[in-house]
Amino acid sequence: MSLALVTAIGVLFAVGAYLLLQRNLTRVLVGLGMLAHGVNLMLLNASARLGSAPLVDGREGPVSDPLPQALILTAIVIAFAVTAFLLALAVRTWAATSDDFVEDDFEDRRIASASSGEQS
Amino acid sequence: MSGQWLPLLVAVPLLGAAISAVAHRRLFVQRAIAVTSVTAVFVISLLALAEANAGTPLSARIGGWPEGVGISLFVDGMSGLMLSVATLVGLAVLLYSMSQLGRDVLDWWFHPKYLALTAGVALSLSTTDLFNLFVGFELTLIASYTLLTVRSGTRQVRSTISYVVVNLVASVLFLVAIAFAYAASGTLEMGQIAAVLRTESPGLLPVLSALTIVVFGIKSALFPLFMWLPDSYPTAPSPVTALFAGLLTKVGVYAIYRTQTTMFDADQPLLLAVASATMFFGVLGALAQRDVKRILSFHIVSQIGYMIMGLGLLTLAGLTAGLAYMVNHIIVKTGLFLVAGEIEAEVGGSDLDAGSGLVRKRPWLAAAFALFGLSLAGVPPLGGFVVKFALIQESLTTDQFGVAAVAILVSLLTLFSMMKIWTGVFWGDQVGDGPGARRGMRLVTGSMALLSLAVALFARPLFDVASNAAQTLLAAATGGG
Amino acid sequence: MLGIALAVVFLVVLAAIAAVLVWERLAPRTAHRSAWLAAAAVSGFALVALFDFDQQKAGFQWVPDLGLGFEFTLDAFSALFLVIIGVIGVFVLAFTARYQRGKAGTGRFVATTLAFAASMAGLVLGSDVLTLFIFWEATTFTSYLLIGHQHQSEAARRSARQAALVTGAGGLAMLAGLILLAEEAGSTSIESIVAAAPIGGAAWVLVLIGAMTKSAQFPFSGWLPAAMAAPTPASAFLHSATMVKAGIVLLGRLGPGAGDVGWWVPVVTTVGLVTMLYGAVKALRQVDLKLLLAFGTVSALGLMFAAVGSGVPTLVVAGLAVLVAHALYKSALFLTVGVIEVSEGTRDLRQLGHVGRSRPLVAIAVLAGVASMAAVPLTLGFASKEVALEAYLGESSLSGWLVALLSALTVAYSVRFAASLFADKRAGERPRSDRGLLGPVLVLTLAGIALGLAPGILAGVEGDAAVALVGQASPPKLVIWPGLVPAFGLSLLGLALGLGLGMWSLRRPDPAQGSAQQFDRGIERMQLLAERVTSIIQNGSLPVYLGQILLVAVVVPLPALVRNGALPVPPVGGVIEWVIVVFLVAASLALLRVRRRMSAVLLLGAVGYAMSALFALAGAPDVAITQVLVETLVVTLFALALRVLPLQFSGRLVFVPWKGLVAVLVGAFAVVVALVPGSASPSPVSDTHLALSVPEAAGANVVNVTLVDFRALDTLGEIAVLGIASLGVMALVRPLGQIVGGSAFAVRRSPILDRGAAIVNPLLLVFALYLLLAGHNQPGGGFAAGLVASGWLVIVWLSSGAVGVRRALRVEPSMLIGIGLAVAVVTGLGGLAWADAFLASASWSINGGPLGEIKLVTPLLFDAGVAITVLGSVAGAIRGMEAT
Repeated sequence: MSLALVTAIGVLFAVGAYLLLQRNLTRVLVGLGMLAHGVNLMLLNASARLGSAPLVDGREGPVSDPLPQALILTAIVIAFAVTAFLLALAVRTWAATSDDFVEDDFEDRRIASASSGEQS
Repeated sequence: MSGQWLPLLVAVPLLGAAISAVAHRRLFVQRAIAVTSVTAVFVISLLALAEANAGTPLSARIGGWPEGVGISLFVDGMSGLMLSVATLVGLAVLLYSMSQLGRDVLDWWFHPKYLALTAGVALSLSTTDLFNLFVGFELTLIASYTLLTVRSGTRQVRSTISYVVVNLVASVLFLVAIAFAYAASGTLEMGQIAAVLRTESPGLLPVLSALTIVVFGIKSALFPLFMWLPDSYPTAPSPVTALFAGLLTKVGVYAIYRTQTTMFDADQPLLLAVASATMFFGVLGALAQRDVKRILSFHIVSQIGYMIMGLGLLTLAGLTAGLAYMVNHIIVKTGLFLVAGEIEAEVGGSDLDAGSGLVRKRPWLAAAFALFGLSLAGVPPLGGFVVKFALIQESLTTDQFGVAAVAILVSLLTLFSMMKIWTGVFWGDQVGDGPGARRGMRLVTGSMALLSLAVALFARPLFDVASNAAQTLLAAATGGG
Repeated sequence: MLGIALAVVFLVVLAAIAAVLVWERLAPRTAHRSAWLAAAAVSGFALVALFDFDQQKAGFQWVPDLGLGFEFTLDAFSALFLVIIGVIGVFVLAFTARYQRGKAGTGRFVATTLAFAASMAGLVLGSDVLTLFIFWEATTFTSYLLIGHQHQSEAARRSARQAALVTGAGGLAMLAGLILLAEEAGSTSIESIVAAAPIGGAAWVLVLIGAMTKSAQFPFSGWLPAAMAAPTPASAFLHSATMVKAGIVLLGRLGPGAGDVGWWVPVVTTVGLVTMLYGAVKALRQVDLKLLLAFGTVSALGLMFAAVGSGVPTLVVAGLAVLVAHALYKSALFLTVGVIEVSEGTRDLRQLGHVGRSRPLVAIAVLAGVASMAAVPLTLGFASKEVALEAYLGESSLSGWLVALLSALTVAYSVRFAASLFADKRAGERPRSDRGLLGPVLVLTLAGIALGLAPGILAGVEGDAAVALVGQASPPKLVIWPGLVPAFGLSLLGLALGLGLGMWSLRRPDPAQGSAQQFDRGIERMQLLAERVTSIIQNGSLPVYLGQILLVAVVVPLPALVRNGALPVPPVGGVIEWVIVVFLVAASLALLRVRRRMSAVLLLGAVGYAMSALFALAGAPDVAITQVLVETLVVTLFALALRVLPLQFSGRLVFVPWKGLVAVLVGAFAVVVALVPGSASPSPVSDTHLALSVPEAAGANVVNVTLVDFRALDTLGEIAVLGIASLGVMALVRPLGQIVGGSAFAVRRSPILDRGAAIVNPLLLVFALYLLLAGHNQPGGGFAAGLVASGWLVIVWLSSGAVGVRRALRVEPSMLIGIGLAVAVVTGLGGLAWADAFLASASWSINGGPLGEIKLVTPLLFDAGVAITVLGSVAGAIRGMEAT
């Protein structure tokens, strides 16, 4: 844990959240990537000990906490897998519409317009 | 140490997924493997439930490592009950999908995905490790993402994108909670986290509780976090929606039950408020819809509220009722979506205007719908009544009048909503024309209807089992404290 | 004994239902006969019971934990009611067979009617409030089906809904009330509740509401006239003779327990009398004979409600007398209307003036029924009305006068009914055949006349029934000629008044407004409200959903965070760390300003590389390596995907305040959550890992040992995720490849790249193998190995396209994924077999020649499975993307 790390975490989360809230799917995807980075740093930040690589090879000195690293590795892979799938989805819509605007849900809009239609 | 065979719950479907991925393009082989695997998991679940109900919860140490060092699987009454019902329903839907999803819609990897989903659910329902639970969730989710797009039109893809993005955000938040838990306690085993925090830094316990509530609240579609569900579920083919409706959100509810009882001191006002709002706004959403599958999807949300209500009562009877509620709901909700699939097959759509007068053409389908729909609304003497009655009785006797009133009101609105489907689809004049439901679909729907009747018929043993499970949970809660 | 008898009767009814459903198509007559035979069996049982009851009990537990069970008592009251159900059931079903002949869905109708009869029987037999409730709801449901029987008609559907919702709402209110009463009394048995005389006001109000809805008391009366959309036999059975009296049954059973509730008798009386007034006034304005009868029923129910609900013995006796008489004459009248409806083709009394003269038998039935309804002397109606007047006069003269005046209104609408059928002086045209419908009606009418001449027969059973309810009561004085008592005077006064009023009402037949429309408007308003609220909550916008989720995620933990107190201050951090972080922050902020999509992706990559630098600095080489590899792959996939889109974003990122606010909150939240726990937990699990890694798990790289041994289950799940994601990508993009055409984005071949690939690729594969083998002790491992091997595929793809990848790989990616996953799972199962623990490791030492002693460990096999899965997954993803 250090102020530097925490600063990075804060910026990654804030920028990630901001991009996530956009209508543009590319930005949403990048935002998700940022959030994933941020949370990985948060896992690193949770390390219970600091030091060199956790290799038990007879070297002296403190080693870093191996468990958060294992978790980060798993998290990285899972995030990669889901991102790849999401990209494929995005490609589907992009190819169909040549646009990456995230539209509102069709049915929800139908309900909304129906109720406002009856209202007027 | 008994129960070292528990990992078979996960290993069998994963191996099945692996083999059926290799058996690419051989549909018969894939189907045989899938049915065998899911049946096997069901049998294993039943065995585990029997053991747990007899008083000895099972646990398995993965890799032989002691609890905390490695990952442990654990099946008590609650897990066993959920596993058994989930896999049974999973089997039913699998059989249904065989006759509904033809080669034209099916992709060659439907079965590996289905089995991966089964493995993910089984893992989520049995692990005691917070990070492993995350992995189980992710496995379930990735399978669900890919299943949602089995028949992918543009609109499906659009709704799947929302679904994936929302769940990814939930996953990030889950990891935040995990990082927090590890930083605070140095362990990932749920019971140990709670134990360490209780002694070392009790102030952090409620923070972790709040973090996890939000995460599982998204997964289980609680108010105000449920909006993603009704937008995405209805777009998938009916068997897929049926599976999701029965299982996925319930895994989230399970996680809330597990963590709130064994790890935290549940925040009763928060839980009951959330339960009430979820019941109410869910059913309100259903009233606004004009499509059978969307109506049913909003009811999923509403029903989740009842389950959380059972937890929020924080009594043995409340927990028992909540667990029994889940069991009944899984069966009934899945059944309703199977009926929706048949409706689609009969009239060519699930819009309420698409067709009507189906009671003439398919009286037994109408009867099945009536069974499920009335059970959902809580009409006696169906299973849905027993579980809802249990909740309402317990809330009234513990003086939680507010939530009881909401539960009663929402029951009535649910009945209204079911009547809306009934009049829109089954009553009336013209009969729409679709290709018709295949025999396999009819058989499975009929079996589910019988199963839902069995809930009512065997309500007594069900409540016995649920009560044992709830007792174990409460004992763990007080024992961990 | 009772249990067996009930079971037999129940089975008979069940068999009849089955018979009706099965035989309907084959032999309709047999089917219908079996139905009314079943009803006859019920009445036979009931008649025997009527004279031979001895308070027998029967029942069984359903869910003892909840106190749910079925408890029945056969007492004088339930026996009396059973007779009503059975006898009227016989006539109604006999009538139905003819009335419905040749119409579609008759079997359904008859079966539902029988099911209703069974439910109603359960309701009156129930001696436990929950049993009663269960059958109560069953009658609601069967009533719904019967009202909506002619479901092609919109009106029938709406009426069915209205009835079900109103009585359903009341039923739920009642359930809550019953639960509260049972809680206060400590038992769900009616007997105990009455004995305990609970005083919970809310509980009694809820029970009262339930009874009021079911028995159509004001202001819940609207559904009953609407329910006249049901076929007439159903109206006769459910909506006059039996079901609508369920509320009265409930009050009759529980009312005596409300003795300690001060407001009970005045409120019940007021409700009943107001309903009596309302129903009668409405009846006077109807032109549809059936609606007239329906409002008449509402009015009559008012009187019974007030009398039986009061729990006062004399009133209860009187109420029961009225109830029996009403069941008899009202069902006969309804059936008569059914005859008229069939033969004349209308129920509009303005067009039926000729019926009285042209149909003498119908006229007799009408006159006999109406006379009883109006309480003309020599009828059963009269005898029982006298008892009621007597009883109310005994209570107070005010109530006596009120009842007498309200009875005059009954006379009035009775007169309206009868007179309208004799309005024309000449007989009309020859009516259509009524298909022999008159038979059952006449028998029922005759029975009514006979009882009117010898009302005393009923006194005993009615008295006994009252005793069963209130404990002690004297039988009603049912006589033909009461003598010159005040009540008789009042009756005569009422008759005279009513006669005038009725005749006057006929002169201004005023088509009435149904309250059904009001109800439907209410439903529409609720629907609209639901739509508006839902379109706010569920507005379909992904950014709004996400904003809401993030906000909730920040807000919910806030109270707990605040309560926890001050934040710990962390160390500042080293210079190199700060350099990397500054770079990372700069790249992140730049993301907010870029206009080209590709630049955004590259900046994301830059952040990723900065991350891996941070990992390396923090002593996490495995993570650093993987991060670099994954980041490279992600950028590659992004680049592939973005080819289909324009280079630049369609617009600059416009600053939206609420989004900015959420973002800042999320950032602050992340900082706080990262700081709060500190990082000094006393004895983390990883200490154990460090200690056990070499001696127990035979690996020096603790991170890798954690992945393939301590937490191998995580890794197993993780590769499954990866594999399934890849299958998903392939399934998704493939069909599209056919649409767009694979060649559109073909990669240009480059000879230099080809040559380079030829040199680099073997090196990459060797390196991958090294990472795999060494990973257990050095940074590396199966995942990194798989990724590096995938780099080979990327290069092949860049140099020779999809065909090249296919040629190089030789197998389907899904095959690799399956094999890799299978290897990992089987390794785990091996552990279960030989070490009794899934994924348990084992190790062997072999002599590796020049490489020295090599320690072979099963986790290596597991890791190989990981590597294969990763390779297959990346291959699948590339192929999927490439297909675009």
